[in-house]
Amino acid sequence: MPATITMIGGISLTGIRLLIDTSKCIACKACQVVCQQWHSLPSEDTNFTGTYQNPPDMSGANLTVAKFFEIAALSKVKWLFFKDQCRHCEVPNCQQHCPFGAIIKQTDGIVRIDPDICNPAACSGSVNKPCQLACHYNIPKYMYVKDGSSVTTDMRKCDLCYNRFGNLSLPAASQKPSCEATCPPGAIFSGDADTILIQANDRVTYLQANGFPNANVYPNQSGVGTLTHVIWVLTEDPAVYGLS
Amino acid sequence: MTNHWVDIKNADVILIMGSNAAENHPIAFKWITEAKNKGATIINVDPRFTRSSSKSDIYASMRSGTDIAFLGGMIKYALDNNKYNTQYLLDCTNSSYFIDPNFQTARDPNHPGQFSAKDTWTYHLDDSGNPIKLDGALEGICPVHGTACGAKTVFTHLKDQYSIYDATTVCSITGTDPLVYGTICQTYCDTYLDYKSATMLYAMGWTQHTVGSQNIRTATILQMLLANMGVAGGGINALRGWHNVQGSTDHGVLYHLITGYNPSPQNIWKHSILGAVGTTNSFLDTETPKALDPYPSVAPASGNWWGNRPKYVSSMLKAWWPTIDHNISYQYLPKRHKDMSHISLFEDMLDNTPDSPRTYPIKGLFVWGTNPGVIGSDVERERSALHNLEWMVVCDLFETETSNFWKRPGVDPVTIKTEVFLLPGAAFYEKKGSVTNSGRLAQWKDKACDPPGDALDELEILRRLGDAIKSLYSGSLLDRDKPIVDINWPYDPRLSTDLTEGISKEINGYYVATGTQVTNFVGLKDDGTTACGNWLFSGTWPDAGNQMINRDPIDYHPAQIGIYHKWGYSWPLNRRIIYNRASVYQTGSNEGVPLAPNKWVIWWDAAANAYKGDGDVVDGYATARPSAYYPFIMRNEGVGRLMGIKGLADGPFPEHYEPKETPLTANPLTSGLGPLSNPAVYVYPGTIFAAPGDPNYPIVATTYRLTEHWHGGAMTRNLPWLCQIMPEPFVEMSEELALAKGISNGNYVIVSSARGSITVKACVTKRFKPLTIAGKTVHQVGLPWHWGFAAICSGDSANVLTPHIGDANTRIPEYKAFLVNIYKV
Repeated sequence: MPATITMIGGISLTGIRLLIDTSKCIACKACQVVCQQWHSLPSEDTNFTGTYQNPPDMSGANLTVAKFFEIAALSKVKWLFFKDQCRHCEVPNCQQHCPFGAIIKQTDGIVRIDPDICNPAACSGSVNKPCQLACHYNIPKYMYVKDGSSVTTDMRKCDLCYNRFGNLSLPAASQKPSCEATCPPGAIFSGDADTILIQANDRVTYLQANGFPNANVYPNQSGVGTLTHVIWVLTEDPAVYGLS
Repeated sequence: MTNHWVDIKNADVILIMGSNAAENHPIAFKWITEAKNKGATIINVDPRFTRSSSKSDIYASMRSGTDIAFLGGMIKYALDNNKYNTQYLLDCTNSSYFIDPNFQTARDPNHPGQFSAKDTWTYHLDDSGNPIKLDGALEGICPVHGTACGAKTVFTHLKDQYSIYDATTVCSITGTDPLVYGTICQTYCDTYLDYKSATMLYAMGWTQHTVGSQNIRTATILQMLLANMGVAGGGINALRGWHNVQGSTDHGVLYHLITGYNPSPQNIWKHSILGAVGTTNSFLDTETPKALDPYPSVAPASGNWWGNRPKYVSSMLKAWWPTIDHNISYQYLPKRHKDMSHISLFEDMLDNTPDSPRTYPIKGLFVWGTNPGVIGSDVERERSALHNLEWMVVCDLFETETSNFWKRPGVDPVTIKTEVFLLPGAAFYEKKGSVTNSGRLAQWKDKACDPPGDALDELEILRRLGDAIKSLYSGSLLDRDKPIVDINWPYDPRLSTDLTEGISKEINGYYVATGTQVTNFVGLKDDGTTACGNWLFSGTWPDAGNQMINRDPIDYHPAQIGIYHKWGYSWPLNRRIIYNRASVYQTGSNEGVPLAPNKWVIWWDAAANAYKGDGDVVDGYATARPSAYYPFIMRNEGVGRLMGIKGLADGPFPEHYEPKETPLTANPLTSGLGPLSNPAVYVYPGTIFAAPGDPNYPIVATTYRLTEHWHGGAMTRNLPWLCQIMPEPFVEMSEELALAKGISNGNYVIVSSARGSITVKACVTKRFKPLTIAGKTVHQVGLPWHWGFAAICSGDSANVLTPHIGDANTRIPEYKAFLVNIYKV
């Protein structure tokens, strides 16, 4: 796919894009578990709070969390799922605010934090670090609770499994993000950025004609501020998912 | 599954009912999603709105335990609206067969809600003993005896039986929104057209009821009415949980079966000798069906595949005791003397107390890869039964609620005499071998790593155990010891030096004289010259080698229906869709042409007088044209049974009965005139139930499992990642019930039944709604059952609440429908 193609409802983008199609997601949380496995992250303490969503949010131990939303309209119930994670912004605000230059934007668009450079304890006396305050989506985290004690880590977020792409120690079918490789219903796709956006727009068109009039691409990719390398197909307005 | 996982993609309509594919079989959703992408309609019927519901086009709620009413109403809808496939019914089912003139359905006013005596649940026979049927019509007058005999066809009886299952009555029983119910009836029954197919995906939500077997029967009737059996995207598909649970039942793990779904011998005079077909009072004569070809006796004929049973049983005996004449080694098989289902075993253990010892008590128990201390119904009763054992051996990866029963909360270990042994087993990636999935597909896998520490592959544990037992009996000349002294243990040494491979080759079968592998079960004999551990798997390891290891990812089927014949090996004979003879027209000018040419399974080309290449393996008699044999070759009359002949204990047609514990005091179907609950169930002495309509327990409860945990939890509640994503037990309830009880989301609540009570957190949700049942408001709640007192995430077991009663036929416990009450702590 040439990078110069003119997009409908989106600006052309080079590199990788990941599409999460919530109309196919069954919230099985396989993505959460495989993410912890690939990144060798520990479990954290949780308890049942009245929702299937657990852990309640991302943390130093969990880089992605499936979020659950129950809505009722016209006596019909809907149970919506949103696999939350870093959007990998084309213009990452977090990167601009990191005092140590620990946040790297690769040429393929992947935004990741170098754990050898990041040092949350040294970068700010505040609980909320500059990159967290800068993030529009409240993504990066550096703490979790384990066995009743708070654990501090380097700042963590989705790295799009950057070291799986082209990793010849993995089978060809696995050289993509671990969540994509694992997703049972096939709701996650990665590929050339523009191709993936076309796929997302096509899916939205299909869904709008088949019972989901509010389907949309999120973030909407309409301007530089919302241009991201991770996008979602949502079946309802972003506000229903608590997204702005 | 009559079909298989990949085949789900071929369906036009998918009914997920009695299962929760998104949560309990997430991989299935790969194919459900693919079907949906091609335009299929997904229907989900469940007491609560689940993750499967969230991805369905149509969702209907229902009261747990009312599936027969729900499906019975769909049958009536199909009959009333002429949405049934007449040609299929005539060619492939017993619809046009006459039934004993004395038979009466449950609509007879003399016995409302019950059928005439069981000896009338039979075909009406001519003087030669052949069943009488109509040619070319579903209803009419007996062609042999005329109107005088009064016999009616199965189809006439079917219409009569379901005549009162109108939508209004059904919805007053199930609590379903009548508008949604009407949409489901129409959408599903529209698949009666030749080129349409619909599949039913079910699991424990249909089986775990006192009417469990009849739930499945109701589904099969509907599928046959709509010509959905044997075709791509159709079938009755039991979604089985653990990756090898299909393989375990295939290999005779159930008490009433030996391998390959042959019956286990009983301590009855008819089973006293192996015998042969035609031998008086012998096992094979009693258990081998005779072909039942209808009057008038013209082609097609019944294939009666079970007529081969003597070959399969004899070959199994030769696999186990190759040097012994199979007529003698038959005597080595244990003969069961009664029901030995799960509940019965625990009731027997419970019954053996010091005050009233049993003459033949159960002294010891082996527990392999199961955790009755969590998954048993009325689980404190089952845990207590373990107190009466002398010894128990548990083989598992971790300590479980079963192995730790003697130190569970509230029990003083000093009072327990049972000696407990824990054998560390191996997880699936720590051992090689085949696993057989729901689609009957056997796939070989290698071992990824050795089990840790002292843990061993269970085959090795069994081998050592067998060796030790054999050495204890070596040299014995006593007749009673011969089954052990003579047994081929662990497998015929000519086959291989590798334990797992050797057993697999024995399962495939070999010629006793030469030790060469048989090609498949067509080569098996009943004369003692062949040995075969399990006829269904014969073909998995012929002389050409292990077929289960095949991994060609190309679908060679011309219609691309997902057959993948060169990936693994599917029993029987690598057939992917069983009963596939029913997918083509049976007779006439279009004989052999598929009902759905765009997704054909097999295709008989009349001009070539042969089946087209690269189709599925034709079901039985592979080269015989469609009109030569009836399509349902495992039935001795060769056709599918809309009416069960003899068969089930509770009736030849399914009838709605309330669960054993019901919020109602009268069966609304028969206006209270018929039985309230299933009259054919066995009630164990000493078991406890809430009374019908019990004001102390007014809430309907059901139990289920979640994506995040496995069954009894031993394998998942010891994994920190999985504990983290679903840490604690809970009870789901509607906002309306929570408001009435003063309960907020996340509060601790006490849930109590007539048998016990547990404390869990509340999950207050819009996904449960109060139902209106027979004019009154009924609340439902649901409890996942994975938890217990052991493991790194623990909690109260939902099965403390469930009743110790089972289905009238299988005695699978009624986990899915019972009564509770709820209080805020």
